Amino acid sequence: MVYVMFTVENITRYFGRFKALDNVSFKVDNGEIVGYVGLNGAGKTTTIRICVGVLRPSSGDVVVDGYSITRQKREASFHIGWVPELPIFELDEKAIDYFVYLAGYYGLSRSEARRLGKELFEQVGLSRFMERRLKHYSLGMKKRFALAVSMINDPRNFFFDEVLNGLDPKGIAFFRDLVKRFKREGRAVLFSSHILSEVENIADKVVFIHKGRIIAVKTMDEIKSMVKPALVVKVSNPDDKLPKILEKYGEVRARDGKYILVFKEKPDKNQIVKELVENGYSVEEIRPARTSLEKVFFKLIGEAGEER
Amino acid sequence: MLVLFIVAGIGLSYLSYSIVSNLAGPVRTLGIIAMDNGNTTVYGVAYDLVGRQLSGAKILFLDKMGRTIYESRVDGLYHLSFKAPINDRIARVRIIYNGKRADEDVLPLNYVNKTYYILYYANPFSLTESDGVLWMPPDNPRTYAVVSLIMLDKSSGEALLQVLSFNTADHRLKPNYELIIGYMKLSSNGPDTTYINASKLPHIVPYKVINISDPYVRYRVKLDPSYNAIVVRVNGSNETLIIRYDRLRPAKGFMIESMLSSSGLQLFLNFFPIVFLYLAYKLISKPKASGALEFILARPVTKWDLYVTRYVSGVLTALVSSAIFVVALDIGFAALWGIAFGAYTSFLLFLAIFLGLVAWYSFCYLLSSGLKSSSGYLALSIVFYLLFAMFWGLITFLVALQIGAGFTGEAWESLSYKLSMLNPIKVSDLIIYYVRLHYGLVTPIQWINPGIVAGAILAWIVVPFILGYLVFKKD
Repeated sequence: MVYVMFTVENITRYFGRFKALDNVSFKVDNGEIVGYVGLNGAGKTTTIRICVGVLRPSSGDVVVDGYSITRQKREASFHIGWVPELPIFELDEKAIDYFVYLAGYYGLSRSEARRLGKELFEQVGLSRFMERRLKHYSLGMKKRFALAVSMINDPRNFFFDEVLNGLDPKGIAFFRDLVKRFKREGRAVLFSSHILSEVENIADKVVFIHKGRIIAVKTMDEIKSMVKPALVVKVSNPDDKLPKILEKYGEVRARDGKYILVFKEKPDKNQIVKELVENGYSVEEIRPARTSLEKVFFKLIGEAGEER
Repeated sequence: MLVLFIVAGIGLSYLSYSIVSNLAGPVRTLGIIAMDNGNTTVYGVAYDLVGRQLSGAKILFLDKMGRTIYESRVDGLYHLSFKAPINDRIARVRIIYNGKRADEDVLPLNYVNKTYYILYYANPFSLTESDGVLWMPPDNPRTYAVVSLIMLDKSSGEALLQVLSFNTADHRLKPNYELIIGYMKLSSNGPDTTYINASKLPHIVPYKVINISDPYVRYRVKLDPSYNAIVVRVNGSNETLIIRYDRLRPAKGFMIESMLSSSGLQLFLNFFPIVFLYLAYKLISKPKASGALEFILARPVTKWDLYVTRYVSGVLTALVSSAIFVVALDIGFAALWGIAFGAYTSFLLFLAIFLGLVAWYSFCYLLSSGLKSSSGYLALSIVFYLLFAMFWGLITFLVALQIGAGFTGEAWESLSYKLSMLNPIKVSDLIIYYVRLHYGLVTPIQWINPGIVAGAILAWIVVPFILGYLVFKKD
């Protein structure tokens, strides 16, 4: 039986008269990685801030491991790890000192906190920079620091807000591995990101938010099934006959000198290349079309046509 | 923060030092000078505001042009002999102690057996002491006595009577006479000291009889508040001295008043609030604007926890700094003057400083909780600081001008206290009023009572605290 680690229950949030979130509901299960996707201003950060208890919802609630974030904030926070989008720390402090200070909120003594700090700084690759002031950290280092802080209490639930922003490829890989480890350990992870390809790579499920409303919650399998498979074909000498040749394999769309072939049954790429070459075309590129999640997302928000 | 507290600590030490050392002014001397063809003999005593003898004071005898005829170091009761130019009469006696000086009143007497006698005693501007001279019965040789009454504590009626006697025939001879001490009630006007030598003497209420057998004696006396003058009469003669004590200010109170109005304490009361302005900035405004407060809020704490703990840390800072300041003042006072404020004064002084700082801190806390921008907070709080700490005197002056309350006296005092209720930095003046009242330094103001004082101060503390929280929790 899967125990639901946290549920977002009908959250609505107003800023003045502006409704930033409208009846948002979803859940994240034990050992599940959920991507949270939406345009800028859609309400992702507001949702996460409410989930971690730093912002109160106008109505609704978030229940984390059975604790209400609005009514049992202290208890719920013991089960939460949060990496905010921006480095909102006391930047004048030394990293380890600030870590120890924050660890104090979880009841850790100074010595315990320092010992744990060494361990977690090691895990996130900051062990050489413990004594450095946070203002001298790069953005990527700050993210890693926030990650170390989020693990102080060894929580079962993680909330990562645009955690990949500012990370170099090595950092992204590190995060990807870490999240997968969390999944293996049965922890629940909700992360928002603009890098949809990464969401696609990591997430088990994606929650789509648009203008403060949840427009869909889809598993990756559902997303894949929603996307029509396609190939990108590029030749150096296109002409009017080319679309007719490709039409045999599926629906053809042309853009920027490339042809996008949308098909129902997976065609044989070698067969397509062979036929094109036989017809005198010089094939520069043939590959599966990427960003299936983006397609689904834009399709869902009804803007796909305008954006692509 | 560490640097801030080090600077604050040094500042505190300097302030308490300057407050106490600036109070080292009250130095007195009284005595008798006998000049015989240039051979001058002086017999006197150097003492402080509360009648304690001083060691190492410098005494100067000046002519009428202000030139020094003779100077010497003296310890407490002193006897000096020196040769002075015959033409230079001593016109002034100056005493200097710890850099502070007093020019005492000189009373030329007359020639007795070719010797010219001059008395000197604390000048009337001392406010805490009143002096007079008594002649012993016209026997031969004649004895002069300088009598001084020092008011120590008006509320308890504690006072000190000093009598310095000098035998004109031979100053080495010990006096031997009795003084009858009594009380009487004088009309509200009239001189501070009256000398009477008449057959019809005023009726007095006897208090005690003291025997004078040493050249210098000090007696603790209890002044009866139902009378307003002490009468000193030489037993067996009409020689009578009446010293009124209702106008005297208590020495301790005088020192307290000097301390309360000293630039050092005012400097502390006016400038230390800047620390709390900064503290509210550092604890709430800045982390709130940067988001650091939100990062902390993701820990197992509620907004209320965060709001209260940060408020309490400011209150504790006020508590510790006020306590240290008052203790430092108290120790300084006790070390320099041998007088402790006493529990009542120390406690009220501490309460005034502490609650004043907390009231101002609460106000800053409200501003820091309400304003999103930290620079906006700094700008607004500095404006309020300037208004409350720097321009309040001017505002009070303008209001007094407007309503015609005058700029001195009871109406002015009353208006100042009323307006202080509108000022978080000055609201604790209402507590200091009770310190002044305790020492008789202020005339009682009818509308001030403990309920109003507590209400005004609590309102400045509690209302901003609650309003601040209501704003703070709203995000």
